Amino acid sequence: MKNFISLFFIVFAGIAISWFGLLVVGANSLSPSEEFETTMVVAGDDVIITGHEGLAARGEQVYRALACAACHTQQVRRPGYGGDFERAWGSRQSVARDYMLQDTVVLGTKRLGPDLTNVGARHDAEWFFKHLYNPGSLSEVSNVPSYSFLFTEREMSDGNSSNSLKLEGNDIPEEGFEVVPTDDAVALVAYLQSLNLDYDLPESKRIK
Amino acid sequence: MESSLTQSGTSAIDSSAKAPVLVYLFSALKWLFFASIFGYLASWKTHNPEFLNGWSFLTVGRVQAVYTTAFVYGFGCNIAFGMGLWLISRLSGESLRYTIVLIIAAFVWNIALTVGLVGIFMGHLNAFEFLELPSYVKLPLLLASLVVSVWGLLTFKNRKNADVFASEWYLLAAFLVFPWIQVVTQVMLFTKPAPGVVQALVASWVASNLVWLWFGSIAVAGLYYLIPKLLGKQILGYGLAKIGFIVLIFAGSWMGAAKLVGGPLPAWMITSGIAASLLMIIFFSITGINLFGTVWKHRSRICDNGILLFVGFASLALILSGIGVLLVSLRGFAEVTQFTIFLDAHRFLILYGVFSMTMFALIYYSFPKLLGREWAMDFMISTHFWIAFIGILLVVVPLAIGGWQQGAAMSDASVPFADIVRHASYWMVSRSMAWIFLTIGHLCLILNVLATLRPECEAIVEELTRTEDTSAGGVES
Ligand code: HEC
Repeated sequence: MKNFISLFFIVFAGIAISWFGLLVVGANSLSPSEEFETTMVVAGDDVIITGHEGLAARGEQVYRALACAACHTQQVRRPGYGGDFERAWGSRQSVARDYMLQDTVVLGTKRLGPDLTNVGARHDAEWFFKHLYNPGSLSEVSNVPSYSFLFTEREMSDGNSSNSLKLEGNDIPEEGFEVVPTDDAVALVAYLQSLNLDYDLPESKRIK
Repeated sequence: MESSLTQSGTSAIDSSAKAPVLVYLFSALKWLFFASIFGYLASWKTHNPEFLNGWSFLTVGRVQAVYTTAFVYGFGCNIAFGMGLWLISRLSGESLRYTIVLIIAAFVWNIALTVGLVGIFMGHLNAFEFLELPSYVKLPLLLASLVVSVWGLLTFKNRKNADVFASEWYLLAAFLVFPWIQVVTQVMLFTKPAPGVVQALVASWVASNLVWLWFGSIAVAGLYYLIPKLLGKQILGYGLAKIGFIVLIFAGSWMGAAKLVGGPLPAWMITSGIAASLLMIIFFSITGINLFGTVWKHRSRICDNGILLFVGFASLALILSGIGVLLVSLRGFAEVTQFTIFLDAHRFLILYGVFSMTMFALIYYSFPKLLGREWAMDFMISTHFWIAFIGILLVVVPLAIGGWQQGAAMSDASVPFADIVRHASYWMVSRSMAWIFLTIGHLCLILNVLATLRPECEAIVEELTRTEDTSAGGVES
């Protein structure tokens, strides 16, 4: 390895092989295709895998912009490997096909909060809004950031707006005021609601 | 290595390298200071997210991204560029040419990075670890690093020394790999995003190669250079070094997928990552014997040389991170440690314990040579070391123990989630304490640099006050 060309070639070959073997081959084998389709019939039901569309797609951007993935993952490991299944984070393992049409896949690497792959099945919109506004108002929690800057407090004109939060305790705004979510909060909650694993795939069926 | 060169040859090389290397060094130190503040803040906010939380730009995730980016691309890359160029020109016995281009590249890099950090504050960040920088600054960053790489490669190609030393293989690898992984990031994640989970695979591949083939290679190059220089002794078992290098290039580049164990990816990908991590035993054993073995053999000499302390510690940390790589790639072990702060401990051990400590050693070694002047506060070198040492222990040990507990509790569904988080945060407080030590260490280095540059600083101050005087119509003394 005394020669520039041979050294250059060794390093180039090393990185090229791993790039091609892992990433290029991987990308080819996991693209939507005939063997790897997104619309199929499983046990008599139509299953259509979707990405995030409309409001939820905007919410995905908010999720990224607020870096929620610093504490949350979106992947359910198989039953028996870790406690994902026992913690009811999903009733089946999440598999490659589930993510196929998502624009950005945020599997995440850290679980300082629960996994969110199936969180849409666990809570409704009102819960999500309250959780983002003040997580402590819903349960005994520690270390959960509030995202109250996603909401505005404003003077009520003509009674409560339909989208104002139904707050309790210390969170109740002053008389004549109400707390309403911003567009970002609405989009983010639409995204969270869309996170759902409530369908079966041939390679991963729900365990009841 | 440089034995064939005369003293004047070496100093001609150093004087050609002085300007660009110092520009990269000063940029690195500036970012190190910035990253210290955000490292502390990011750490604090992970166990106390309500602290300074009223604004979106200071939300936990963004502060963490700012810290990582400033540390990795600000301190890490600038210092790797500077020290990499200095090493390659010294080892090749060849001056750096057209250095103005390197200086322009440094400005491009740092301006683009500043814009990128503002972008992160504003929420234009990506969700992939280490790749948070907004995609609009990626092109200038790529161009700047390409300049450094091409200069490094050409300096090596035109070398005067016939002998090629282990450091040079690693430097060459680093210079080649870094632009490559940037192109892959840009193309496969942003320009034409890969389908579905392949994005996670790409991100993992890039992150792992950034850590091992870029920062790791530069660090190993630095250690191979410094150890024989400082001890005046040959590397133990140097004949094996070549095998270690080949293993890093061909197996190390596959390790990324191991991180995704249990994830929604085809099994063969994960298995390839695990197999590669196991093969890396060869790399870690050989470099361990070469580097730490040599230092250990002459351990009686360590205490009278502050730089050797850094180097000895970094070589030991390399072995320990190697053990970490093996452990976290094993399925049974990863079942517990995956997604926990254990991985933070491991990351930190590599990026700080191995890479940064080696870079500090290189700074302490090269700066006086570049300047032709001794350190103003020589005693501060070992002070810096011991403070950094405490800081590293306070990060790595508690996070490793706490991470293991966190993972074990997470697998046991009878433990309420809130309890797990609360327990993990006790351990994370230790990391915040550590940042105070680390920051003091960084200040030792920065103050030492400033004190050594005192004549220049005074000249600048004088220059400034003189112009002020004249503009104010003051009387000339
Ligand atoms: C500092 C880490 C952290 C960050 C950042 C974070 N969370 Fe959380 N999150 C938590 C913790 C901890 C919990 C668990 C609360 C509990 O004990 O029930 C949680 C719970 C949740 C839950 C309820 C999950 C469930 O299963 O009940 C949702 C939904 C959620 N977070 C969404 C978000 C969103 C959206 C963001 C980004 C805007 C975000 N989180 C950012 C730590 C975090």
